[in-house]
Amino acid sequence: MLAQFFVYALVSFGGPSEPSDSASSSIPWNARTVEHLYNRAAFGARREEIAEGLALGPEALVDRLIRADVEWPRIEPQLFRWEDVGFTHRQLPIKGSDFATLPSKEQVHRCKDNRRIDREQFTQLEARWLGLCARNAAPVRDRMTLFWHSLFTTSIEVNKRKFEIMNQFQWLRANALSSYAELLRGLVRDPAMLQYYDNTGNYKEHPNENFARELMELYSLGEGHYTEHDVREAARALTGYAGASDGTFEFLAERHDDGTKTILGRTGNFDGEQLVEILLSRPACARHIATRLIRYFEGVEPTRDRVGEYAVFLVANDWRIEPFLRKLFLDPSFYRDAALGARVMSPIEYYVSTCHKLGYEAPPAFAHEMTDLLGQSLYAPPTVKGWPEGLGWLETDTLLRRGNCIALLVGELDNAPPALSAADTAQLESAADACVTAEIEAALSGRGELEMMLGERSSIGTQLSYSRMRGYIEGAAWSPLEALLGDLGARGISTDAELVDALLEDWLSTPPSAETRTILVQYLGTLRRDLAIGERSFLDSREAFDFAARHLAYLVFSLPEAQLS
Amino acid sequence: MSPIQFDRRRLLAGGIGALGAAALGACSRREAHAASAEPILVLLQLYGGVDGLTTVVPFRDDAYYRARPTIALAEKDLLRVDEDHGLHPSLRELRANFDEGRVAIVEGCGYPEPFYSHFRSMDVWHTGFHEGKVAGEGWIGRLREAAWADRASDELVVHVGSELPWSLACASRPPLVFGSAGNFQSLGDDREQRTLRYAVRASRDAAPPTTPAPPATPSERALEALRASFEAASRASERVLAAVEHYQPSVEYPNEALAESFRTIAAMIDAGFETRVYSLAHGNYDSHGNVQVGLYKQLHRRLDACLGAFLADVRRTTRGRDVVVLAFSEFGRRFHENESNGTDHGAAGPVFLLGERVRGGFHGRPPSLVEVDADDNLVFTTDFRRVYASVLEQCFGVANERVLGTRWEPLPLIA
Repeated sequence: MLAQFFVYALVSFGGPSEPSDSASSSIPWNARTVEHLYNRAAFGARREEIAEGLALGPEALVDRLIRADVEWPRIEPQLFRWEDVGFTHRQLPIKGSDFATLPSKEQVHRCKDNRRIDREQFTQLEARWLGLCARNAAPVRDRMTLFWHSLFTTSIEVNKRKFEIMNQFQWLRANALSSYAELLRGLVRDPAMLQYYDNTGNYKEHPNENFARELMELYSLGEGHYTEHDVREAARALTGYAGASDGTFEFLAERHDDGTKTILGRTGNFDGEQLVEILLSRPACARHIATRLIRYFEGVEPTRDRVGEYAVFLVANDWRIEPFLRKLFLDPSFYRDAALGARVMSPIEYYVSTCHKLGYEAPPAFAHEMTDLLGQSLYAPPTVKGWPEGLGWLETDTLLRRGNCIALLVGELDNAPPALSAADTAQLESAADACVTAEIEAALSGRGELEMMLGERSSIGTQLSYSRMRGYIEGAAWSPLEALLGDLGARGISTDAELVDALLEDWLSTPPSAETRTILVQYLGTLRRDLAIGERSFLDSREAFDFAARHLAYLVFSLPEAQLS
Repeated sequence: MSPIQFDRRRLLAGGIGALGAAALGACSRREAHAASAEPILVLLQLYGGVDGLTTVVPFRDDAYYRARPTIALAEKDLLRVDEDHGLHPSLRELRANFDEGRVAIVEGCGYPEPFYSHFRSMDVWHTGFHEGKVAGEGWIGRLREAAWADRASDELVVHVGSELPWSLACASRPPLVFGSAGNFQSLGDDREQRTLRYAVRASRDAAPPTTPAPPATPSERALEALRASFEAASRASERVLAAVEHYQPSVEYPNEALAESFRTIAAMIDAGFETRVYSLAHGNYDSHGNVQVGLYKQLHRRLDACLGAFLADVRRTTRGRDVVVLAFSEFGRRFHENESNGTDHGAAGPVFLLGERVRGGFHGRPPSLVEVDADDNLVFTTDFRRVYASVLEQCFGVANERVLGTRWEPLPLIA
């Protein structure tokens, strides 16, 4: 763990900046391209950030975004010890243990306690990370952390405790800008990953191909660059690589297959480490990673030549991500028309960038509920392939749900269901508790599995989610008066058209149609009648401004344009 | 599907587009569908792992009573359906339908090397592959692509519920999903909704024409997709709400969330939605502990009342007579009851098909209660993919290997 700190410190505070690329002088540097860089390398830009970026120029801004960093005091996860609650680490009850002699009520109680602690510590980590993102505190690092997590998928729905996952997340974040090769080397020894693919059950008599397959297909080479034979042989190289019950990596020599393997044309008595080196030596590997990175940051499928150029660069720079991103962010092609506004934001990006632009950070429970409801809960990707990208996020009611979350976020609550009463909450909690009790009792007495995540991602209805979100936001709501009024006044905004134009400019990076602008101005006109403010400016009435700003925020962030970055 | 039928449906679809959205929801299309012969599949997922032996009880088998000394159901309480089987006492409507030949029960459905994790096993059932999601999209998603790739409609597959089951997942043609009709609407007030709709409509009209030239940049293409999706959702939302509001069911539905979902589906069928597959879920049947006896009484009673009402309601229409309900669960439960008078995660269990077109009665072979596997699980006698194969071929006329990867032998389940 100490080693991770060192790497982190080096990346954060040391190292000379890379020599600047002369190509950057041909980047068209204007408000649109500055915002584009912020959209991709960070989580969106506020007006003052764009002004700053314009003054700094491409190299200095890229440098600042990459170097911006904050201290991440490591969260030491508590180990949920199955042994302490009467189970082997394979979740089988231990007969005759001290625990087994406790009264059954006490057994259930301790199980629940452990489960609660396990959940709460992960919630703490998620809240801190989303908070950092919303403040653009270490933007490139956090964007890369999300990239690695969605490339190297692990899920709390499969892993049965958070210890390994929290360690993995903090390891990925600390090394987010260092070397892909190092990450891949770490991955074959990462307990969370080994647990996720049940590689503990991969031993020489019964090789389990799960991990080997995804290691090749998703994490290094990409589909079509290996054969089924390679998968089988790679699985043999990974036998004995296990997650120990104390959450650390464990090499079980007696389970490891010491025989000769032939992987991707090379023959030898390979182990997991050597397998990684073989993967790294394949041209497909650098191409695959370069493609994934460019696609993630540009939002457009890269051309063959471009992938080739970047793949070569990646290998030549020891697989280090920082120089790769500097090159990409200072590449004039990064700013070409086709790339601007081409990405549909993921729910986490949408939540974070909206907060950033509004100058508001919602309570952590709200942030979790919103990102979960919209389909992107940290460490719960839908499949091993991670989350969808771009238009893949678009389901029937995507915009409807996103809009509804924004209504709650900005406090436009006219039609929102009421917050849950204390009695409702108590009833829901006791129902959930009864489920958990039954499950634990069963696991303690039978051979059933204790599924640690059940009761956490309950399939509660959307209305209930909205009610809970409303409850989280009430009393901690966004204040347009604080966030906007002074600034807009200082800019000399007065008429309805000026107000609409200013907010559209501040909040959207993809400009809306002229028609949208006109309709929003007309909308303000109808509010003006309702609020009976005559010809006065909205900025001259605190109440009217508060009302209008919330409604406009809801409308603007519900627009199709607001989904793009 | 014959080409003639296809053309007629396309004409119908054109007609739907030409009509005003609100008017459409209100007008029942029962007449238009009078001659239709396209089955509608309703997938009912029973979450949590249903105990087959508590649902369809082999009361003649002493082994059942030996394995379940506390929780076994007494013969006198059962609703007998034949010489060997009785249904759980709460399943009265199911029994009535069985007696009328409208219920097919395939006993002992499962797959080799069963998973005992809800998620892993659900993934197998949802994809039809042991590898689960690694193998790809859901089987209904693949059906959508295999059978109706050339149909742009966004309502061919519909899920009514909060979480989309992976079986419906389809990246190229995502299903229509909404929590409930009441939930499928905006939290904005009427004026805000109008404002958004006008803004999107006007932007779309003003955007460069998409034909003959495609939009110029990826951003414009994405915007067009987002706008189209926004409008499709508003349209569908209005139509669903209108259909539900104007619907006059022929029976009274129980006051249950599940019944509301069934009622919504009945309303959509009645209103002439093009949907071929509806999906909904009921549960949670996870009954490790001593709640099992009470839990099944309650869940089965609710299931029975809602399902019974739905079947009776849709039966009165021609279109409704084409409805086939497929009810399944991710696994059955352990053979022996556990020390807490419940049952743990197991393997094989029954699958139910219901509707006028179903060939009623028992299919497949009952699982042995003597030769259970090393983990004390019932060994499956019918691979569940054979049931999928039957549905694919007998409902949709699709060669099952196009969806399931390899060919499975269908059972004669649907006429």
